[in-house]
Amino acid sequence: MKIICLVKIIPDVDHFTYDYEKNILVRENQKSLLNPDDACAVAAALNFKKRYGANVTIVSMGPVSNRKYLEDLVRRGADRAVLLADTLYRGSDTYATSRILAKGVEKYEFDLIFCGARSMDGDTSHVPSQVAELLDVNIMSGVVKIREEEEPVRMIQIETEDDERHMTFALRFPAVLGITKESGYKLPFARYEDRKKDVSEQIHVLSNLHLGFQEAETGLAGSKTKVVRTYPKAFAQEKKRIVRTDESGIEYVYQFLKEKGFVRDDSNTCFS
Amino acid sequence: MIRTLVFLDGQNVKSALELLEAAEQMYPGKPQETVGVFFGESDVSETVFGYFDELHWFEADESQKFNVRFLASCMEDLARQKEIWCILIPATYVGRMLAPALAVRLNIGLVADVVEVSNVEGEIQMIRPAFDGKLMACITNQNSEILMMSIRPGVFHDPGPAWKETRVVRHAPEYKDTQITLLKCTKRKEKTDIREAKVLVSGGGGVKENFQSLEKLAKLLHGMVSASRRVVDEGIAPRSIQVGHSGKIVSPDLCIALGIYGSLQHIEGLDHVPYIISVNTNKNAPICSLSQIVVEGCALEFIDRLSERIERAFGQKQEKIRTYHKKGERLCRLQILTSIIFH
Repeated sequence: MKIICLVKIIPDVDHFTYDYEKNILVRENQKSLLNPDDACAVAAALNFKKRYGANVTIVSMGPVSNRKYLEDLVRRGADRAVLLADTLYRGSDTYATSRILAKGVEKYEFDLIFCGARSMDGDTSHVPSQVAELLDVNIMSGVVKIREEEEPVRMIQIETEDDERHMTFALRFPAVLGITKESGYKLPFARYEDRKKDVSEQIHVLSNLHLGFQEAETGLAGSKTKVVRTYPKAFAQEKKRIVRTDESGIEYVYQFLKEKGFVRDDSNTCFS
Repeated sequence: MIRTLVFLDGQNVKSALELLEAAEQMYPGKPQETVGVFFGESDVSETVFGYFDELHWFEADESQKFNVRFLASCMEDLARQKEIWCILIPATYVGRMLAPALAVRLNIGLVADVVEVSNVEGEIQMIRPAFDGKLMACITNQNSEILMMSIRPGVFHDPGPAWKETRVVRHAPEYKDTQITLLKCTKRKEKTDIREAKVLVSGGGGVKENFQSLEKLAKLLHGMVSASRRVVDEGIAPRSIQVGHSGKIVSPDLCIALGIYGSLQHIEGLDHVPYIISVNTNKNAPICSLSQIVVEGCALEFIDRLSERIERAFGQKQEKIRTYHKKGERLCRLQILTSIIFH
């Protein structure tokens, strides 16, 4: 069984700084990390490697400086890692990113693609479905468990969750699975003797020379959406409001809860 | 004519009506045609009758409803055939998987989880949260013929009365079977750990006379009850639901703090909570400094009055839907019949 894992290295969203004067995100000297959902996806794939000898390939788009994160995943047990790196790809929106990833993935054989259901920075959850569509394979996201009691052949059983339901599906190969961190899959540590192992032969860096996109197809030019501006949420927040328990006070609280989506209609149904 | 295509998620069909308000805000005052689309074994058009010019019902079994690539192919055909301008999809479990697949098929841009829209000199701007909700991003479309977005549920509101003469069109698409099979679907078990709660109704010394009443409000808000150290120490609430330095560090999206003074050790447990509403007889209690809304008054009275307000809203909504059903029922049946005959 061959598994490809799509991963993204993201800025640490808990410790980023915002330059209020220039209105930009300060990325210099900022820590990066492997997107938490993606870490679960790799961990799930490594489980299959351990149990059934699956071959695990990591694919990621990003700057060459991300290489060290991929080396780490190889030391933890992945068979190889592919970094799709080209300055042309900088600024790609999810549409352009998915096209680049899909083209990178196409160069390798696979039965299943594991990826994080969402990324913590952009949080669009677009990539799993878009890659599936581009590669013409099945897709299911929100995965909290992959059944691994038996080696899956041509079909894989997964459990998914949304706010209200817990569901079990069978998906035909090939398929993309969007795995959430609620799955609880944990990356294994590298073996002690592998901590500094030279893994350079297992890291492949592919540039646009290998993927062959036109300049207008990637980066900002190849994107279908454009970020006009960003601003910290604090600006959008209202000031503290003091009310009483009278009718207007209760109404204010009720409208606040409704606006923020905390008052939900209760008539949802579910078959079982 | 501005034509908008709206996906109605079978899980909560009525929530799609909120999306119509977004459409109205994008093209204010302009005549619009709205086309709704839903998938399933049964007809749900009665629920939203009168809000759309056309409703397209694609027959699909329970498994097929989760095969988003199949849904996307049906919607692609519809979007091309109807010369759609704008596609709105609720950011639900299925909606969030469906939208990107459809965007690829139509070769258009997509913005996720939109919470605000505006029309700036003819250009539509979409606002969405990013960076774990710490940043807001304003996004526009480029190089796309159709504008498309997924919209966070609960942000926009139901439109006013329904007056359109909805035409219901039934489709029976063929599909490749057994790509995806739904084997089991159950209601999610209630979580019992307060660290997993999205909404916490937290009580302190000010509500200890009637701590059980917190359950009522928590249930209405799909949340859990938690407690301050004081009520736990007095044996009124179990240690497992205590918030704070000596209890649990929680991360709900909303915390309603009832009769809690907010000692430093309690506040530390609430540091990352985006929305806090505190109810206290003392509006200068430390907890109030963390809150978006401070309600000055008796917390037990607050529980009763807010619960009543929420229940009243649910009642009204049910009543409203019943009225529309009666109105639309006949017309709807007739049109389904005619469309089955002529399609």
